[in-house]
Amino acid sequence: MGTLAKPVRLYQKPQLESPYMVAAWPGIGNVGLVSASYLKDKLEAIEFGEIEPQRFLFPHRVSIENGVLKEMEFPSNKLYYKKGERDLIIFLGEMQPTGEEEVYELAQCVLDVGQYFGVKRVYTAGAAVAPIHHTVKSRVWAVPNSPNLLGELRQHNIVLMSEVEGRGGQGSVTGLNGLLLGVARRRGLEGICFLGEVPLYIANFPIPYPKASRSVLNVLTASLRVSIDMREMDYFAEQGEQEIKKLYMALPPVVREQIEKFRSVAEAEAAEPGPITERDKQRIMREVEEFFRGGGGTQT
Amino acid sequence: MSIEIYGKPKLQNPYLVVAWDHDAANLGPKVIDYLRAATGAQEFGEIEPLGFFPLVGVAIDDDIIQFPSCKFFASESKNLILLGSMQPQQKPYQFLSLIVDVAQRFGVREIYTVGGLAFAVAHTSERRAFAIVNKPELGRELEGFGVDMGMNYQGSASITSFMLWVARSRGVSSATIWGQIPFYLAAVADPRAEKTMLELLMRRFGLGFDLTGLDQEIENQERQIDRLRLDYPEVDSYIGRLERGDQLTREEGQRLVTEVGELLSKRIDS
Repeated sequence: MGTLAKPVRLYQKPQLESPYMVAAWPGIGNVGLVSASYLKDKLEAIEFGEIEPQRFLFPHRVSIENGVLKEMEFPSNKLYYKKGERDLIIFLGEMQPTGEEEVYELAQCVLDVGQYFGVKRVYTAGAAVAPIHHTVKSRVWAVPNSPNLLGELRQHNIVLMSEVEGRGGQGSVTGLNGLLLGVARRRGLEGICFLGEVPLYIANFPIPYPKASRSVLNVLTASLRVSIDMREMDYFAEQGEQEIKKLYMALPPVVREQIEKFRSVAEAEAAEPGPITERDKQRIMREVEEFFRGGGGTQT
Repeated sequence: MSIEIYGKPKLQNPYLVVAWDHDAANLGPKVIDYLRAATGAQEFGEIEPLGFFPLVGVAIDDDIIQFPSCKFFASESKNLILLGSMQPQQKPYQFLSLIVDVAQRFGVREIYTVGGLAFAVAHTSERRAFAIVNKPELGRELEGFGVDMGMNYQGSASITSFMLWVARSRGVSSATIWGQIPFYLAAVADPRAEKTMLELLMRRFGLGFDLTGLDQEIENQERQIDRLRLDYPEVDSYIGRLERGDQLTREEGQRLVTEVGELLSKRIDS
C-alpha cells in the first residue's frame, strides 16, 4: 500500500477493493459540491481522514478569549468511504486554494490518497454555464480524460463537448474539477467530469443551482452503479427553482424579456441556430450584474 | 520547476528527437508515437509542468481533457531518446534548458525537432523536407539526405528556433526538420508526410523499420479523397489546379479545407 505523508491524516485505514473516487469543491452554483455531499449523506459514507488544510487554505475563523487565541478554523478537506458493490472514496473540499502551486499540490495529495487505496478512476463535477432558461432541465456535459471512456459515457444520458452547440469539441474546465483529472491522466488514472448546465444569467451569483446538481447526480449514480433516494434532492431542486423565480421576477422587465429568449433556445432543435447572439448574451449578463450591483432595484 | 529522471537507460551518444504538439497534421507527435512503438522506448523521466504551464484548470480538445505531458522515453537498442511535449507557456528558456540538460547528461550527439508545416501543394505530390540547423556542418550532412536547406526567413521566432539557439549556446548540434503538408490535410492527418519523415530519420539514425502499415493508411486516404473528387467537381477542380502548380483564392482554399476535413475527420464511434 505504501505510505502517505503529511498533509494527509487518516483516522482509520478502511479495507477497500478497487474503489472509485469522487472529489468535489465549491464552484458556480456549487453543482459539484452539492451533488457529492448529497451522495455522501445518502450513502452514509464514513469519515476516515482529511488533508490538513493549513498548507493550502487561509483560515476562515478564529476565536479568542481574554486576549488568548483559542481556536482557528480552516475550510475542511475531508475524506469519506463507503463499501458496497463498488467501494467509494468521497473527498469534499470546502474551498479551493487560490495559489497555482497550492492548487496543484492539493490535486496531487488527493490522488496520493486515491492511489494509496487502489483507486483507478476519479470523478469530479461542476457547472457548465449555458444559454438556457432556469425553467428547463439541466443537461449534463461529460468530459473524460481519455478517449477510452467515450464508449462507456455514450451509454449514459450525457452530451459530449462535440455535441454541445457551437463548441466543436473544445472548451475548458477551470479549477480543481478539471485540474484533478488532468493530473489523474498524467498518473495513468481514468477521470470523468460531469458538468450540469447552469443558466448564464445565474452563473455569477453566489447561490446554489440544485437543478444542475440533480441532473449530475442522476448520471453520477448511474456511472457508479449506486442507488440513492433522490426525493430530498428533488425537493431541494424545486425550492431552488422557486428562489430563482423570485430573483427573476425582481429583475426589470427589459432584462426578463432578453432572458426569455433563452427559453426558445432550449426548445429549438440542436441543428437550428438559436435566436440568441453573442451580443445578446453579453448584454444580458451586463444588465443582470448591474441590476444586482445597484441593490436589486424595484419592479416597474 | 524541475526535471525528474527515474530511469537509467544505457545509451551511447544517442540522438534526441523532440516534437511539439499542434503542428500541421500532428506530424511531429505522430512520428514520436511511431518511433516509441517501433523501438519499444521506455519512459525514464519527465519535466514537471508546474511553472511552465498555467494550472488553473484544463483545456478540452476533441471531447477529451488535456494536460501538459513532457515525458522522456529511451530505446537502448536503437540508441534514441524521444520527447513529445506541449509547448511551454511560461518560462520557455528554462524549459528548453532542461531539455538540453537531459541531452548533455546522456551524451546526446544531435537534437532533432520534427514537425509539419502547411504548404499550398496537392496531396498527390511528393512530400519534401526542409531543415534549419544551428551549425552549418550539420546542414551539409542533411543535404546529403535530400533535405532542403534553402529556407530564408526573418520574422518572429518560434519554440523550434528558440530550441536551436539554446542548444547552440550549450554547444549541442541541433536541427529542426519540417515535413511539407498539403494545407487541406493540416487539420487532419498526412500519412504520406509521416512516411517521408520516418524514412529520413531512419536513414539518418541508421535504423530499419517496416513502414507498410503507413502505406495502407496512405492508400486509404487517397482513395477517400479520390471518391470526394468524383462526387464534388469543385473539389476536383481545386486539387487539379494545385497539382498543376496554380494558386487558389482564400475562399477556394477554405472550401477545400472544409470539404476534405469533414470527410477525413469523421470519427468512427467506439
